Parts: sequence; structure tokens; C-alpha cells
Amino acid sequence: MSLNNVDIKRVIRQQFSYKCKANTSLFTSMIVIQLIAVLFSLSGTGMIGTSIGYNGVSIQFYSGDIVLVFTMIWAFITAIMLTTKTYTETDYVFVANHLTSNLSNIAFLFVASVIGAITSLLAVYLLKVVMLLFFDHGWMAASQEISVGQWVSGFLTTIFYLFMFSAIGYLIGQLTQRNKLFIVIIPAFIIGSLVIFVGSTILMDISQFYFNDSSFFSVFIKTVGTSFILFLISMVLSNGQEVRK
Amino acid sequence: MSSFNLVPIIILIAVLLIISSIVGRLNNSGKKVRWFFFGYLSLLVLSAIVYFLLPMEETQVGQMSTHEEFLEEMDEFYQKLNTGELDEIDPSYVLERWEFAFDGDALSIELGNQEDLNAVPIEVVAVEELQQEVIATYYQNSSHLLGISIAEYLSLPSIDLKHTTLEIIEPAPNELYFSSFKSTFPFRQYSGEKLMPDDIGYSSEIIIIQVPEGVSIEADEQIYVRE
Amino acid sequence: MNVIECNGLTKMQGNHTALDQLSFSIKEHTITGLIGRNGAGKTTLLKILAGHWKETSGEVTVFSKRPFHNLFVSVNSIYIDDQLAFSTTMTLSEILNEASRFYPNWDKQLSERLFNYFSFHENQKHDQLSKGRKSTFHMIIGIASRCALTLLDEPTTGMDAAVRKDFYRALLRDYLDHPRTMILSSHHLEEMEDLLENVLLIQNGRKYLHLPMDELKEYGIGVTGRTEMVRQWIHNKKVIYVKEVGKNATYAVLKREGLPLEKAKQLGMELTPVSASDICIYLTNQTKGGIDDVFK
Repeated sequence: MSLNNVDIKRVIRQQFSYKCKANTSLFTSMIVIQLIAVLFSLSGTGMIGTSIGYNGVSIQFYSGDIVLVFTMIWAFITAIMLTTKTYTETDYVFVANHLTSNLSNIAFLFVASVIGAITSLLAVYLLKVVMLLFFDHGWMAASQEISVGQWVSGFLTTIFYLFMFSAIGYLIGQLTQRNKLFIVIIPAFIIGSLVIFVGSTILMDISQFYFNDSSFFSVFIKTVGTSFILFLISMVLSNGQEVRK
Repeated sequence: MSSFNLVPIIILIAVLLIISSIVGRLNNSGKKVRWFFFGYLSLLVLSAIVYFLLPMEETQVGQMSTHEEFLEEMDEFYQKLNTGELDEIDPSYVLERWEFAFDGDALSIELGNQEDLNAVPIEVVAVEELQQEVIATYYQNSSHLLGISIAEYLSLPSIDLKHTTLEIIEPAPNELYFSSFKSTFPFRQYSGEKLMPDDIGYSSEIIIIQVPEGVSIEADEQIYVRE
Repeated sequence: MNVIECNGLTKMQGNHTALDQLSFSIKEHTITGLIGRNGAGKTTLLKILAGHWKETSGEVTVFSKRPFHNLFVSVNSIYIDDQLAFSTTMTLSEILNEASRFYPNWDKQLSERLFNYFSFHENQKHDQLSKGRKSTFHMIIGIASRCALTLLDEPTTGMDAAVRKDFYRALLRDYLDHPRTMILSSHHLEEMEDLLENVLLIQNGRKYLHLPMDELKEYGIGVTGRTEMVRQWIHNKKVIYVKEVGKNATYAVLKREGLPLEKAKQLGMELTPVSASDICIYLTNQTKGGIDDVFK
């Protein structure tokens, strides 16, 4: 039997499409998470009160923030799941090596981020319609007009944030796959740093670094760069790892 | 404008329960999972369509004045008030006007049930041209919250003249609830909008009671009588 | 041409030596039985050949390449056992469809025919199959993928006798039409005797024998006779197995090579051939006695 030559790009494509079919159930959890987030969002994300003449006035602010934050957590957990035994083993049933397995996982996580971004944006309309139909509030759109450019930037940034969180999850997953000790070390590290940095602004600084930047180009470099570095570390870690069974 | 409604929460919890039972019955069948996903997607698209078709009131965003502009307006307003140029005041500041025929020499002004000392200040002004008439005017500059006029929702006092007594009765406590929807944070990041704005609007209000000159006023001590 | 070459292949799993200085080579277009007791290192060897596990030391090549995470080896080989993991959302026919996209030589017609012959249903789920049905389904993938190197680890686990028979027949038919290199690991050697060309017997991670099937069948000889006579006769000879049978009679298995068999016959001992399966069992017995000794 003659031997077949192999095209790595083709294998990655095949694995990616295999994953899209095999991992559909991951999106079921996304749907449930987004619906729970919509439920939580009904109580509003903030409130301001004042008085005008003889009247007390309160404005409750609503947004899709909770929906997006929950979707980010979903992306994070989904990435961890992809590194677990159950999911990596399915890769190696057919043609695979650690490079194709990782790259097709990253491609899958990117698509998952795009789907997460689209659904979390649309879920905001579900939230709005529920509120308009059932809540007897005085409405103030009072949202600034967003230009097309701002909208496109916002949408792409939503994808990048989800992708970045999946990159964090993927790295944590690879670390724990490499050594189970990380299951203890990582939470300990997070709680420990929270205690150490209590009162310090480092956590605020980190979130400001990503979330308080109004230049799209700069946000693009930061989020995509961070994701790239995290995925690269994950791939280096998984290099030389045996297929677990 | 009731504050909170349990109905949607109950409905959503029911929806969640139904969905979790559907998820349980999906049995991990690829086909069913795909249908479930497309069902969810169509629900979302449908709500987007419904949202744009729904008649929305007060979605118009007006101009919200800054604090400096507000202080300027106030200065101008009180200048006109002090110089007696009441006719010059922007008519949009007048929320309500009460006019009573009056031909007595003495007027007593009483506050009904007023307990809140910080409520709307009241001033009495003697006007030369006024004949056999008492006019009470509720001025308010800018009843704009987040740039939207909420004047029509405001409860105003009721003012009535009985013989020689002008009675000002504070309205029943009125709480107004409004809801405002903000874009999700990656969009706010570029539009510069904040989830909760620093200013939601400024307003100042005053009730001016114009009486003919020569009428002696006997008023509650909270009421300022211009000499 | 040698498809597989191992030279001093060693695999450590923690402190346990799963493979110990294993050296052998396997020629192209042969069917080799990988025989050994539980824990002998069969699965470890196959996983290293498939590129899933990494050798600790020594040299291993498949198609002249180091197999570990090698994509060329991966596309030209397939590893089948009873624990293949599949997504729980996919149906059996979807799985076969995906498999056909990965393997260039996949025979769609054959896979469909086998699928129908073993009466699988299109919409069945992999995790709903019984152990034997899983093995049968995996076997379809193993055969239809037509990989130049087909590694089957205990392929018949859980299959009933009829299916096992069908499986060996299908494997042989397809092998004859499309020759390739196959390694089957099993402990049911007797069923595969007609199928195998070579046998690689391993014990405690070490190579014990690597022989053509014909030679293995001739490897040992059984001697039965009066106990004193047998005991005396086997002295200083290569004894594989000794067992007392009945009163004052002993059965001994010896390596046939160089034995004065005529003399044994003259001494009144009965000579019997030892099947390949039995010889493998006797060779890999840890003690010379067997389970009966435990109860003495």
C-alpha cells in the first residue's frame, strides 16, 4: 500500500470541521448561561436617584453587560473543557498531532467567540423586549447615538474579549493537564494575589488596561496580542505531552 | 410607572425551567442540539425585530445642558426675577399658572401640609400693574433628565384662593421611576458613554406669587416676601 | 522493507518499566500477532507505534520516522482499541463520515456494507453501544480506513464467537485485496492462528519470541510418560512447562530444537505437538507450576 503524504493545513481544516460537529453540545450550555444572564439583567445594573420639586425620581440603568460577562465566563470554561481528556482523546482517534489538535482547538474557540459575541448582542434585544412588554416603566433611551464605526469596533472588541478569555482558560486547562497540582495552585495563586494586592490598584490597572482604552487599534493589539501569547504558551506546554488514556 | 413587576421574572423562570427540561431531553442528539441552537437564534432575531417594531415613547434624546450652562440660565432667570421683568422669562420655564380674582387689602398665604423645608421655595412679589388679581406661577428651568423632558410626569402643588387666604397644598409623595438602556461595555468603551452618567440633569424650581401693590401680606415664615 | 523498527525501545511509566530494551522489526505487508499476558506491555508498544506515547529511551521508527506526534505516521496508520472516544452528540454514521474525511484510502462502500452487515443503525449513538458492539464498530473503522499500518489492540474484546469469526474473515479478505501491515494484539491466539504470519511474544516488556507462525507451531513438543523417566529425561534440557497428570505420570513441554526425539519414543514416552496458543501460555507463565501450585 502506497503511503499518503500529509498536508498539515488540510488536517487542521478537517479537525476543525470535525470539532464543529462534535462539540455542538457546548453551545447548549452557552444558551442556558445567556438566558440566566438575561434573567439577572432584569434587575438592572445600576440606579441613580434625585428629586425634582416635590417628586422623587429614580433612573434604573440596564445593559447587556451581565450577558456578555457570563458569555466570557462560558468562553473561559469551554476552553478549559477542550483541554480535558474527554475532548483531546476524540482528536487522536483520527489523524492528529499536538500541533493540529491545538490549532484546530484555537480555530474552534475563535468561532465560538464569534457565535458568543453575536448571541450575546442579540440576547440584549431579548432583554429589551421582555422589559418593554412586561415592565411598565417610563423609558428613556438616552443612549448616545453610536456611529457605524463605533459599532463595528465594539462588535469586534466583543469577539476579542471572548477570545482572550478563552485563551486564559486554555492556558489554565493545559497547565492542569500537565500537572494536576495546578488545580490547587491556580486558585491559591488568585486568592493569594487578591489578598496581597488588597488595597493596591493592580487589578484595577489590569482591567483599565484592556477595558478602558478607547482606541480600537490599541485594544486590538492588546487583546489579540495577549491571546496570541497565551495560546503560544499553551502550545509550548502541550508540546511533548502524551495523549492521555 | 410601577416600580417592579414580578410577572416577567416568573415567566423567565418558567422559560428557564422549560429550557432546562428540553436540554435534559436533548439526549445529546446532534440534530436536536442543532435545532435547539437555531431555535434560540431565531428567538433572538425575532426579539430584535420586535424591538425595532415596538412603538417607543420618549426615545428622543434631547440636549442635556452642562452644569455651567445651567448656572448661567439660573443667573439670567433670577436677574429677570429681581428686576421684575417677569414677562421676559422664557415661557418654557412656566410649568403651571394659577390666576385668581382678588380685591382685598390683605392676603394671608398658608402652606397646607408642607413638612419638607427643602421643597420648592416660594416668593411673594408686589407688582405695580396688577389690578385685583393674584397670580401664582410655578417656574422650573429644565425638567430634563438625561436630556428628556419629564415635565408631564411631575406632580405639582395645588393652589387655591379662599376669601383672603391663598392655600398652597403639597402633592402626595410621588416617586417617578425611569429606565434607561445602555450599550454593552465594549461599545461604551468607544462611544465614551458611561453606564451611569455623572450628571443626570439639573433643575431648579420656584413658585412666584404676584400680588397687587399695597396688599398687606401675612405669610408663613418659610415664604419669602420681597419688599 | 521494514515498516517498523525498534532498537532498545524502553518505556518507563513512573517507576514501572513497561517496555524493556525491546528490539524487533516488522516487514511491510505482514500480519503480526502481538501476544502477551495482561500487563506485558502490548498496549504500551502499540501506543508508541501509533505516536500517542513517547518512548523513554531507545529508537523506534515507523515508515522510517519517529512516530511520536508525527502527522505523516498518523495519516498512514490507525490505532483501534475498545476505548476510542467519540463525541456523544454524533451518530454512528456521522462518525464514519468524519473518519472517511481523515483517511485518504477510506473505502466508503466497504464501511457501509460492514455497517449494514453487522446491523448497526444510522442514528445510533456510540455511547449506547455495548462493549462487543463498540469493538465491532471500531473494527469497521480499522478495516475501512485501509491504513498502511493498522494497529488493532484487543480488537475482539466483548465480541461473541460468531462476530469474532466474521471479523477475522473480513480482516483477511480485505488484507488479501489490499495488503498492508497489521499488528493485532490479543490473548486469543488459537482463533487467529490461520490469520497471522508472525507472532511477537512479549513478557514483562521484553521480547520473548518473534517468529513466523509456522515456526511457532513447531517450537515446542509435549512429552508424557512415567514421572521418574520424564524427570530424568528432561534434566539438562530446555524445559518450558512441567505438570503431573494423573497418577505417576508427568507431562512436560520442551523446546523441540535439537531434542533426541527418537530416543524418547524408544523410552516409551508419548510425544504430542503443542499448539501455538499453548506454547505462548506456557512460555509466559511466571512460574513453572501454574495456578494449581497456589492451592497446594
